[in-house]
Amino acid sequence: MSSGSAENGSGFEMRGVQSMKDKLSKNILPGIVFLVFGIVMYCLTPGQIQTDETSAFTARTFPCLILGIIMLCSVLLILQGVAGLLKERKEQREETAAEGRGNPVLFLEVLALMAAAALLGRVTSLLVSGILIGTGFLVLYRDKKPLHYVIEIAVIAAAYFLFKSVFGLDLP
Amino acid sequence: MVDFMAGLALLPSVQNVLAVLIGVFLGIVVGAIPGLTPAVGLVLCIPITFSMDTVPAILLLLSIYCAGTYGGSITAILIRTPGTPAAACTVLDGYPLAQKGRAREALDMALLASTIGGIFSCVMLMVFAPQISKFTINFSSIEYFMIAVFGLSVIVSVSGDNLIKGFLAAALGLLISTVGVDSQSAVLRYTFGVPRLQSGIPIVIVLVGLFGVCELFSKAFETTGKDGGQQVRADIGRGQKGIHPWEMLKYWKTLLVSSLIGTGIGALPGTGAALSSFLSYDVAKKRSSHPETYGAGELDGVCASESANNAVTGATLIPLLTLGIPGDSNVAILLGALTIHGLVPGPQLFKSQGPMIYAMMIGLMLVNVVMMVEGKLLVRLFAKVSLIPYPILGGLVAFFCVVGAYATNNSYFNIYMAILFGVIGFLFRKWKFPVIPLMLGLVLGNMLEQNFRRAIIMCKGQYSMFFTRPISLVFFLLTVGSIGLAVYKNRKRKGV
Repeated sequence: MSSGSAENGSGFEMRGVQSMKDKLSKNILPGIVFLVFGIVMYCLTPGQIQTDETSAFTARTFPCLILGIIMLCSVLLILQGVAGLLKERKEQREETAAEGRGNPVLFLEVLALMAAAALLGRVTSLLVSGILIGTGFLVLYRDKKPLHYVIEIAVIAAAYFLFKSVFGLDLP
Repeated sequence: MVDFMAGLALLPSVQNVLAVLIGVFLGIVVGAIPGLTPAVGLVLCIPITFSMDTVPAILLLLSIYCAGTYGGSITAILIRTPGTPAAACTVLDGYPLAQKGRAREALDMALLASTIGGIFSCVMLMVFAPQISKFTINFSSIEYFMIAVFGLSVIVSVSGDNLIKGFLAAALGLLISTVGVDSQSAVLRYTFGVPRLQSGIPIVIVLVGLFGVCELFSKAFETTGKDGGQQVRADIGRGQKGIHPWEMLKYWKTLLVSSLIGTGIGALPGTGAALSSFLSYDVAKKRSSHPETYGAGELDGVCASESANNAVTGATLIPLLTLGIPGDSNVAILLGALTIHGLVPGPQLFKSQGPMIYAMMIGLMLVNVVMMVEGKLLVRLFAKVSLIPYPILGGLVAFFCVVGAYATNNSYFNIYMAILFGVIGFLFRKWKFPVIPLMLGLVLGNMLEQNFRRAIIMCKGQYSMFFTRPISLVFFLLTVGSIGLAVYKNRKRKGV
């Protein structure tokens, strides 16, 4: 019985930490990212929008207004996140854990694959980079069926020639 | 009437017929694949339209939009996985019908109800859009500015639980819209010395990133098993009885009510097909003399849900074509495509491109008819689409994204931009930020800023003109009403 309660208690704590992490990542972190982005862009604005207009509304007014909104909303989002954390601690309320942790490695691999394909396309052609993407996806998803590779390459080659010859796209 | 006849005359061509046939096919395929929405299909096909004439190009995209909305019902019925959010409600009765061995009936019902709902909303579009455009043609900068504000008010209803995130997303979209040369002062803004940015960030690149590339990143992040593709059986037993079109007469009341609801909801920016189908389903259930059968395999439930979600397709074009306001992500993509082809949605569109717009509207009706024929003939094939392993599909989607981004103006820089927007879309999804406000900000940013600047000059310091001119006041009140209604609904949902 006591062991069960201990386990429950531990599970409760785990979920509490998880919930806190979720609040941190869903509100506070994006709030900080947007705030930093807003401040950086605001500081860069005079250099990026060089105007000698004298009217009340210049080319710089609207972007500055938007950046003001971004900074204000970021602060509100951070405060909302902090308030959520405090409220949670005070009430000792547990929320269900968020969705699974995900697979950041595969995400980064797909990101790198796409960037590599874009780079390869520059030195070869989009057909080659397309084949790299297609087969790369199969490799990343651990697909071991040779037929899938054949199908993928055939469809990409057919699509490339269709785009180039039938739809007249100027593809390298 | 002259424009109508001129529009009709634009339609009979081999290119148009092919565009509709291919578009409907692709649309149903995209809709039937869980994880690929009509929005992704639209984005992937925009580059194909670059070399096409305007009418077939727009017809191709409309076909994907319309057929994609229907396509989601196939997997909803067969494998309990709605291909699109709009088909989520169809699962409730469609899947139980399939379990009872009546899959063919459910699929036929979904197809016929979608067709009827779609045609109904086309008729409404053809009746109301020209009338609204006659009314909006004489708008000045003040009214245009207020329209943009009204368009942005949609943020409140599409931001979900967190309005601050909606505002942040919209603000980012507005900021992106300022990149490039300012059209009034010719001053460069946020180009960071990159010549490619002087003409601004093409909307297609943002769309490819936010919908296409982001989907690939999200799927990769969510994949934890060895194989990303799930294999499920999705077959229709041979010899199953279907539904004859004449049998639809039995459901005329549900069809009429649901089509009306779908059209009404669709015409309101920021609502969407999923809401209309759930609302119609609820109304049909309440009106029924045997509500207990709903949820256990009731054809009337499938009829209500599907006629309503396809009735949205034509109706969403009403605010788009007459005011330039995109109500959802699909229509925002269509707006981008229309702009690429030289059609700028808004009050002037019917005056400057009347025949083209009528061709589009009549063509949409044709799309619905073709959808019914293709859906009926090829349903067995479409059902098998969901069996395509994800790794094959993902590679193809990635290739189309790369080609689409490059072909926008033949630049590798665009591919990097699309990847960047893919990362932004991924972070938005992870942080639970809505994407539609970003799209709205991007689309309406220029309209908002430039008209505000012109309006200020026009007002000569009398800012009360924004609220004293009748039409401007109407849009101001509509904005307040729209925000108030959304806030009220949100509070009611939360039980405050």
